[in-house]
Amino acid sequence: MQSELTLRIAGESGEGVITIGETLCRIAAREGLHIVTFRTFPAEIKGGACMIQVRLSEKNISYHGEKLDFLVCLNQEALDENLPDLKEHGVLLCEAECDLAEERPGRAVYKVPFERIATREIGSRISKNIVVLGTLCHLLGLPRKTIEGFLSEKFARKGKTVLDHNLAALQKGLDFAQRHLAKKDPYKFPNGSEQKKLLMTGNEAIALGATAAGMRYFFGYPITPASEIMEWLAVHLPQMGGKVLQTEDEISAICGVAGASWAGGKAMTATSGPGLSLMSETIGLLSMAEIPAVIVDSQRGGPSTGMPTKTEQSDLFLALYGSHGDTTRVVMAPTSVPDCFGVTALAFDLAEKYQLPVIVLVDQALSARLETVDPQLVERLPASSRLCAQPGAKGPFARYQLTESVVSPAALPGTDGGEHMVTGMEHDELGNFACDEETHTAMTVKRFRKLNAIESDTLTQGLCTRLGDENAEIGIVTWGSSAGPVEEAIAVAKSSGISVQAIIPKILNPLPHQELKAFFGKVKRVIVPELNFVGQLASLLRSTYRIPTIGLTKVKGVPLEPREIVGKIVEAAETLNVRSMKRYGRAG
Amino acid sequence: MYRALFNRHIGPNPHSLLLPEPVLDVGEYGAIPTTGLISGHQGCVGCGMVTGTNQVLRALKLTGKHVVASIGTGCNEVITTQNTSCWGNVSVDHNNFPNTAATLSGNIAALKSLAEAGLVTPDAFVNLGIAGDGGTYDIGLQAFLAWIARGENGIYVCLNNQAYMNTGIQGSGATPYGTHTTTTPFGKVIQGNQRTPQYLLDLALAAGASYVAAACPLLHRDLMIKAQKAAAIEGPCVLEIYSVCPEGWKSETDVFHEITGLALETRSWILYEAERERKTNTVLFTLNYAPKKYAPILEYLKLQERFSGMMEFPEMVKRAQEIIETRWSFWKPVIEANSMEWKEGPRAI
Repeated sequence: MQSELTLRIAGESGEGVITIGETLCRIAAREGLHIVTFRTFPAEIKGGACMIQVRLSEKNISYHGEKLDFLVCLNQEALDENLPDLKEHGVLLCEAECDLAEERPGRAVYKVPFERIATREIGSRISKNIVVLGTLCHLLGLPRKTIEGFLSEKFARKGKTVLDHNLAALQKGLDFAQRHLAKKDPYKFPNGSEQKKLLMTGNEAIALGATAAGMRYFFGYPITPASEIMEWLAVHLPQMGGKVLQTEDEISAICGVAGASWAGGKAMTATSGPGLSLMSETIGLLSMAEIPAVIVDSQRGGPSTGMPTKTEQSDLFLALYGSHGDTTRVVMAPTSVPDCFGVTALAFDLAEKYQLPVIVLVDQALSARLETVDPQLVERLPASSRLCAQPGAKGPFARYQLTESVVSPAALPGTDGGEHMVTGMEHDELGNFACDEETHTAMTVKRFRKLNAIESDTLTQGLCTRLGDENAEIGIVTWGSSAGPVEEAIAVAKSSGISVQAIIPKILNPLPHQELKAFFGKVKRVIVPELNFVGQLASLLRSTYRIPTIGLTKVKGVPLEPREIVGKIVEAAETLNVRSMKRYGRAG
Repeated sequence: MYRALFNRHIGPNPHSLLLPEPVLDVGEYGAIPTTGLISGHQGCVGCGMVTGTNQVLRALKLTGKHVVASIGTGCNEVITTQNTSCWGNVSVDHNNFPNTAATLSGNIAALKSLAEAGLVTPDAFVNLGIAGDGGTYDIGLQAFLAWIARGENGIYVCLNNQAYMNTGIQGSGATPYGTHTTTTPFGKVIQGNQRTPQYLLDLALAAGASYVAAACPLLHRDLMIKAQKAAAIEGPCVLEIYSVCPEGWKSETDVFHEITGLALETRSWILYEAERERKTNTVLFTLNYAPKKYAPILEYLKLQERFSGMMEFPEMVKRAQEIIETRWSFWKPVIEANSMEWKEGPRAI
């Protein structure tokens, strides 16, 4: 039996495609399998092509898979669109009426009249997806009892008739498959471990991570693909005694965060690129007034309204440099769903400890990705808190006191003797407006020294993922969700005899200089794969370390594929062989 | 602010105290040449917004002018931008979420100066802004009110489907009390949306709008008369259109008529218009539809699953009814002045 399975379900939005995928994921999570999913969203509000791809494995995985073992198509359009991605010896399960242009000898094809079974035998067209699940019970050996349990949970609220329809649909699908489909392929649902896993999306992990870090005040404005964070918190935060406030725009959302945070709460907002653009001015205020805040940006295709339902990593420059003046901020980028939890929680620790804004960059693909998470990973407590003064009654309170540790003790509003004013104007230690040259210099240095302190803080150590062979001459630096395909590509390259190493920093401002410098000292070629047009991380690395980089950029609205990265690796390997005698200039 | 007067007549009003002539009163769609949003858009089945926009464009077609529209991000943009030819002979620019009214200002200013320079024919255009309730009540409110305050000559249409539908049904400033949306979920701690919407048209009047009107696509004659009046009246004019959304309201796709009819009869959507005479700073309010018998709000709530949570909380239904009565009390004078016999049935318009 194979140890992993890559499966895709494709059809029309509204046909229950996602339900099939999610049911498979839930079964797999109970079995303790590792899962990574990828799904596309139609641009239409209702209808339009959609698909979900699920990769299940006994081992730890970080990518949703390239070629498919198993493809389920609910209509002709889905078949035409997705068939090229099926492996040579893969399995196709499709609607009986679909036409196959060519039959391939190694391929197992099963045709089932899902639509007819659902409409004629069940009398409910929308139960079609459950008929598919019934068929899959036979073909992949899915546990029927478990699925029945899920259906009971899902449809209990909708009444007995709906539930009965769906249970009947499952049975009819299974009956048809047992009667008409002789199993002619080797694929089975992989075996799992004993330990059950949690199943969550990137957005859910971010929301959960924030609450684990003690966040209780969320301010937001609806925007695809970040809305699910607010939606999850709208359900769960009030139960924890917190508050979700939907503001009238993104500017108000981040200003709400500023207000709540200054008043002593841990607060957050989540948005996408257009929202972060609007928030830019206030990021400067948070930096100037030294107010902790966490801002999540789930990137989508840009600029402007761009491609709201497609993924891209093109907000790095905005996150790093957005807002006028010399603005300090921390920028972090998780690479997987478990990371979304950990990095978001860490973002709060850094924001509170150093009193500055922290931007967490994810992207649409990671936000919507369903992945398994080990239950012990989400057991976490806040690792730091805001330094608070115990002000005496004597003299005015120096909110911006210049200290050895860079951080000025804060006083909560309403504390006797701690009365103070925070301001976006340049100010002296007491918070009084000051525009003389000494003060502006001293205060700017104070704010930027925080970044040095963060770089050497124990909280930020080990924030780089290292992959591959440590002695390899070809190096890859990437960020965010592109880490998954890079990991796959390194494995593929290794199997063809090219050794590669990679470093994936999860903190992009301040950069982990020591680790990156050591990395650049060892490799002779640096490939930087990322999902934007100009190569934003590559540009940052070139300007910071003065090293030449080989860019691999893509703006198709979908994640990088391992074979694209392997292509660059092979090119780099060839130039190394040819030009090995020439010195390769390197600095930093 | 302004002195309010009530029109003694209830019903569709093709006349205006600002216009010498009545506008065209067309009962049949067929009488109007083809225009935008008839086919080729990707609106959901049963979408009220598409019909509403189509009726506005039909009415403006009757004015014989070229429509230059600025549309904000929202459902209306999403369903009309994949096949832009669905706009027919309307010129459209799509701007960001907050900026519909500001872009409208840009259109108006440029066309005005081009006309002054003799490069385009004066008065050959109708400047139209179209945005949703999120883009008007929330993020676009600043631009909206500032545009009105500038007193420019244009029409702003707010397609109100009472939530952010395009991004997945999040509550907006126009979401009714007690509604379940993904950001105002109906739960044990908080029961749905706790806010009541602000009155957009009142805000517009206070900011100085020349003409404001609430309409619904079910009573298309009334809507088209209002759109033509807005095109003819000098100054900023605002139309707010009730837009049924089966996807977000969790209602059946074929009960467009029933839902809108009940919205009118329960008075949760009041059809009225108000126009300002600048000389005396008088605003004349006209009630365009008064139900013969007031249906209880419960009937309206029952048709839509978004209100299903309220069914277990009679005090919430009572509160929803109180909100309606409070709003309706504004119309008491006109109802009293019209205590005469009804000659037409309530559906006659």
